[in-house]
Amino acid sequence: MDEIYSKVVCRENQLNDLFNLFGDDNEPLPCSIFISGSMATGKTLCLQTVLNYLSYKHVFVDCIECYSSKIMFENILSALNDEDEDVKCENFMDFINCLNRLQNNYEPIVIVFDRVERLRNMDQNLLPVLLKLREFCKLNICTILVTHLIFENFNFKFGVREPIKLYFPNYNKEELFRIIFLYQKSFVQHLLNHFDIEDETTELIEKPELFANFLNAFLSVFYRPCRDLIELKHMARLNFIKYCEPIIKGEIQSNDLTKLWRHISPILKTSLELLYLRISDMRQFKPSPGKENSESLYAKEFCLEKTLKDELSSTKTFAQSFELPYFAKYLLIAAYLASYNPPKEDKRLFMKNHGKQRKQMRQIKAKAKINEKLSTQLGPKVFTLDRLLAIFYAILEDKIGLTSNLLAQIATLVELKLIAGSKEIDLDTAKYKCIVGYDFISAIAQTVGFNIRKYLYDFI
Amino acid sequence: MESTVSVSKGVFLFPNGFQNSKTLSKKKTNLLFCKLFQEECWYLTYRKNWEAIKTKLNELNQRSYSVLLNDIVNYIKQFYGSEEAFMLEGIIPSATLLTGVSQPDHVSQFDALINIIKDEISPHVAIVNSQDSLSLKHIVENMVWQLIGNDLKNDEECDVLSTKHKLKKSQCTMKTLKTWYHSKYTNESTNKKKKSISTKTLVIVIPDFESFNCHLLQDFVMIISSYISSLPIVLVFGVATSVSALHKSFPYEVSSKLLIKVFHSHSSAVYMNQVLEDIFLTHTVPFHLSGKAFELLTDVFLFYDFSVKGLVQSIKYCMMDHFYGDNTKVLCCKREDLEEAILNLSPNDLESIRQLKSFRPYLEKQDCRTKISLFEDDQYFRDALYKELMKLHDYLYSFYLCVKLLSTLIKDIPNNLLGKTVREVYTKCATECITDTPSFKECMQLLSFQSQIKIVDTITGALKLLNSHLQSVSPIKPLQATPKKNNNNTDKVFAHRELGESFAKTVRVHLMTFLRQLENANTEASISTAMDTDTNDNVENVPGSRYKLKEKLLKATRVEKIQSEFEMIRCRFISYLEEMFAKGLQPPHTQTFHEIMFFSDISNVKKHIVGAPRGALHTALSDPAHYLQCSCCRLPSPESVAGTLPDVCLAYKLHRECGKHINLYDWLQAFAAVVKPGENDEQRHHDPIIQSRFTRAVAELQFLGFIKSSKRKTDHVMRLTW
Repeated sequence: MDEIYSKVVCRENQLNDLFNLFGDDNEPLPCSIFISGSMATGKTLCLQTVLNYLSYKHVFVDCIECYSSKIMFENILSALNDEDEDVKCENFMDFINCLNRLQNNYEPIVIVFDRVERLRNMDQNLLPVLLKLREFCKLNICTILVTHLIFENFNFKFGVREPIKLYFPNYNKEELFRIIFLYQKSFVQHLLNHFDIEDETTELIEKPELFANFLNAFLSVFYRPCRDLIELKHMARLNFIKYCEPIIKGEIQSNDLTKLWRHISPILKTSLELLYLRISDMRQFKPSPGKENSESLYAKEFCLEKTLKDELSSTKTFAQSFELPYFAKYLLIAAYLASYNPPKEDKRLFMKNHGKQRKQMRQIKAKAKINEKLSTQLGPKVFTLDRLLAIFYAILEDKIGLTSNLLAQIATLVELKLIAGSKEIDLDTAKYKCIVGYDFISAIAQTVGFNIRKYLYDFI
Repeated sequence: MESTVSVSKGVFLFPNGFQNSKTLSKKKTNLLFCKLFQEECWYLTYRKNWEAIKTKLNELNQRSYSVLLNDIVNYIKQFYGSEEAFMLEGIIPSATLLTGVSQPDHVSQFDALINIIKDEISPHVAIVNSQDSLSLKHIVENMVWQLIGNDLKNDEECDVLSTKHKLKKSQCTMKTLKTWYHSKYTNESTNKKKKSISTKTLVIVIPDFESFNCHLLQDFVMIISSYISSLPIVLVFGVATSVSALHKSFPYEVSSKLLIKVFHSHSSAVYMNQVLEDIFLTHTVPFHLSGKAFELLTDVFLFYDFSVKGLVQSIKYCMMDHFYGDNTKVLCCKREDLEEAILNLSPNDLESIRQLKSFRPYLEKQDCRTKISLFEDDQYFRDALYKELMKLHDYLYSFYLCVKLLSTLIKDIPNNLLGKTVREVYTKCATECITDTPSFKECMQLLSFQSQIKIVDTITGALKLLNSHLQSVSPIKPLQATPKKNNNNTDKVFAHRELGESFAKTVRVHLMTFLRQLENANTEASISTAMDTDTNDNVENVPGSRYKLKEKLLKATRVEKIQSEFEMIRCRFISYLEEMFAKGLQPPHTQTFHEIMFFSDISNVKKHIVGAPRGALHTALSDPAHYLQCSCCRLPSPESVAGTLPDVCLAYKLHRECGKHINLYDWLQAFAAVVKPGENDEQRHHDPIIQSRFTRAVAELQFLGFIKSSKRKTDHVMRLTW
């Protein structure tokens, strides 16, 4: 048991619960268990270690993969069958028959359904039946449902047998520290793989205190925005290399904590921007042989990474790097205008002789009232194709024909997910919505020299 | 009809070979088409030209893709070669290729990528398109099918029929993939223990990321990540917009399963310039586009679609239009084939050449006798034609050279008066006589303000271009031979030639001397007499028009009193350039027989390349005579109506006069009044024939999308167009 506790840290309560539930060999298993808890809280890990320890017969089923129930049944059956043969199982009845045909002297069987929330969209009787699977077959069988949702989110239409519920809470900071600390060896190994270091420095780096210091610094920055263990582990791996770089180069002593902190804190902050993005760090790959000398390649990659960061951080540069044909840009602008201007105001905005509008006290008041929630901030409205084309022709100076190429551009914009709507151009039903933001569109407008504020109702 | 022996009632199938005959006839027509054209010599020339362009295009594609593709391939290779330890946590390595917005061009790029992967990494490549992935089931089945299916094919070729049973598509699940993979590789590796590393990567290419339903892709990624520990899979995404599209459509629990590396491909504008400069704007391809046509095509590219493939296809269309049914276009061929082509021309063809517009100015220059013999004597005309076409080829050679030279010279000049790229300069040069335009003069003026270093740089650039140009044509020894000798030789052979290769060579010589002078020139002001001797020395190297030039320059020096040596030479250089370009950059339409090589009929092609479906529909409905070519539908003005028009057109015209809602009864009455003008108001719309005609016309308009019925007012229809 201690072995297990040392392997799966910070989950003692849950492990104990599981052991208690499964009981001894001769006792029957509970009918069904429901385990919930957010991502990376050790649900699957605990189950796996417990089941392996007890050496019960068990199957893990990932429900995402089961787009049809047939696949799920066949997966379970072929895992339970010892012989390697093709199992065919079309429906639930077959499944239960096959289960009954299994010859085992009431040995315990555990079926674990991972990401079980996926099964909600399938036959609505599937989950209830799985929950009381034991009542259908003469086996000592237990179904475990694993999900990140809570049980109330599974809206069952008719009564179900309530499973035993188990909750896995998130790790707190100390627990995260303890868990990541377990990987110290692999981190150091990873580091050593990338640099060739002399033995003395290796010893320095292998010291657990150094890693502990690093982790403290790391978690102080990253704990707030991110609790996901996998992501934290990934980021820690990347940053540990940078943390150790000055030590390897001999610039900073390994016990000079303040200096190390000063070195790492800006790095941590910049890498905070890359959290969850998983853009591959180029430096991990050795430059391929036969190319230019590694120095220049390194520089180029670094610069590339930098531009990438810029590109991600600001929509403006992103929009400018965006390459669209000239008319497509205008179409996009027209779509934006159509989405964010009320159709009533079109005449005033886009026609030269629109006549004067009488300002009524009421209107002014109304406008002042909604001043806080400008329509640019209220989200796009739906517009029709002819409105789009009318605005397009109104804002475009040169006269061009309505050609098939132009209409194809609308479809392209839809394809690129800049406009939402149907791809077919249909005269009466086509409805669109522009789904790019103001920053983006103003950058686009800038590239074609178009003053978008002039045509937005909000800014008049 | 045969009868059956069966007593029972039922439907019986009598195969009468209908299907067969249909496919047969299809084949026949195809063959007929080929045969019909096969004998025409214009078709042969067209084919030859097009093949030449195609091979060049392929080469270019290969060159431009290769760097990028190699990077990707190396990346994929590295992954499963070295770092096994890194892959612990179900992270899928993935390459993201930012391709740019023009989707049609990507197909060839991804094809090339897949071929390279197949050759260098592993035979297991699957390409998952968005069109055939409606659900997760489709994606997985499709992928597994491709991965296993390709392999089965290979196996059969190698006669290793271990997996004899044919896979059904519904059996293709991740499980089958896993078992298949393990039976294939782990077994082998246990048998031959040395080859344990030979496990092959599975590469899955997703070329059009944006058009996928993102939920499907999320699930797909999750599935793969759960198998990554047992299967080495690499994903390749083709993203048209930018990396953030990837992050937008994946929540973090999915994107945390990916390790993304980004690759940028060329922007399509760069690619287009490359294609145009390397393939179409050279003298090596005999088919040329006139300035206007060229402008149209590039505009379509820049304004509408950014698709290089589309551009090439429209050029192909222009070519077809150029060659179609016209035997005289046989002459649009390489210089070497010209003589034979002229010999094969029939008298009729010669006659049609004589009627070319550009022949007239040429004719007017000749004296009476030659005129007569040009018309009467076919042989004489052939000779003249040959000479003129040779001249035309020479002209083309120097024209493109000058265009390129000009574009290199003015590349660094501020505010781009003539355009930055070769194609822009070309459009300008081909439409008008560029040396007369004010912008050209301004450019030259700006050039004359450049500093010494800069001007030396530009000249070296121009020289490099010249040399490569000369080398690409014929293996002439570069410059060792004295310029004089060269000139003499060429003069002997082509006494009449002013342009062409000899032109290029003289230009080179001149540029060389200018370069040398400019490099050595003193920037300080010096007395002009000293310089005079200097110039004299140089001038002797080069024969020809330089003497005139020198006189002009001497005049110029007299006007400006004190000039540095450098400024002197620079000034001379500029005026030399002006003279040279004036000679080389005559617009193509001034040349004799330019119609043979240049395509200029844009108005005809424009309709086909830039289709306007709504416009066409409108003309068809408002002026049916335009398409029907019948006399009954001729209208005095496009607005007027007549009873002889087809019913749809009539209904269309009447509905254009209405507002947003159209009362059907009024419409019918108006319709009836036009169709049967003579009769009594009350009766005519009771006529069932008129009613049915009207109903049909309305139904047709609804089908075309001009109106739709509304539920609010049942006797009204809504108008949808304005």
